Amino acid sequence: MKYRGRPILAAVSGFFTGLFVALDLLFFGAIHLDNIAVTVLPIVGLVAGIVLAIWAPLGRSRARGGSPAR
Amino acid sequence: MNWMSRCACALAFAGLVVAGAATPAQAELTGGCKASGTQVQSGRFYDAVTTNFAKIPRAGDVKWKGSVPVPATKRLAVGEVQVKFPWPVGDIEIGHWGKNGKETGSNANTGTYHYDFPTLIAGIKVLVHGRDQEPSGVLCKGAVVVQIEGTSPFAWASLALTIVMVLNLSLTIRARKVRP
Repeated sequence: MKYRGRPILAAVSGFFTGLFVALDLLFFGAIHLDNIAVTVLPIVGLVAGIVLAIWAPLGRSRARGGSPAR
Repeated sequence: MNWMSRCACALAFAGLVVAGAATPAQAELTGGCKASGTQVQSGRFYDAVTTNFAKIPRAGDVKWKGSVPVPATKRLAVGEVQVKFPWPVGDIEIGHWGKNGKETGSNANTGTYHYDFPTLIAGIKVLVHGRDQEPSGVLCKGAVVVQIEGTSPFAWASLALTIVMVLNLSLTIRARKVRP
């Protein structure tokens, strides 16, 4: 049996997670406005979201006992 | 790999991204020019030759003075002041002189500048840099990181949305059975 998360939703969530983490670092003065991390973190989040959704490390034991995906 | 190790790896990776992308310390004012200012409300004095970071009140007045190491003759001095944004935006010009062909006859100036920034940009560290090119070949360059005191209301909204998005991400990466 194969297991997978929701890659498209995870990509969107990952992008916004990265974006808001970058904004947190910016607004709390951890990085400068010109820091490349402001651009890179949303892209890293997007890629990480897709990879994590394909890997799907969470909830495998629950999925084994549940109904198949639609 | 257990969950503690995974979290440690993720934190280490995030730390490397931020540390690797950190802006190096900026040079002070170079080329023999002089510039200084006193923030009237806080009483703090800043010398551009030695200062590379200034934390200032959100609104106030600055008594400033500046000079260039050239004689006070009529000439075309060209320069600008820019704010550095992240790639791909780059530098945004916020002021310039001499680009319209207007000549100057002085080599020093003083004044009081009133400023009033919105609360929304409080806490952000902004790199402001500028240069002045004299026809005699004198080139002055300077840079300073400016941070407005306080915390932006956006900061708390952003923090709340980060938590929401992390929870959302954890739901979207949960395993479900798929047909092979």
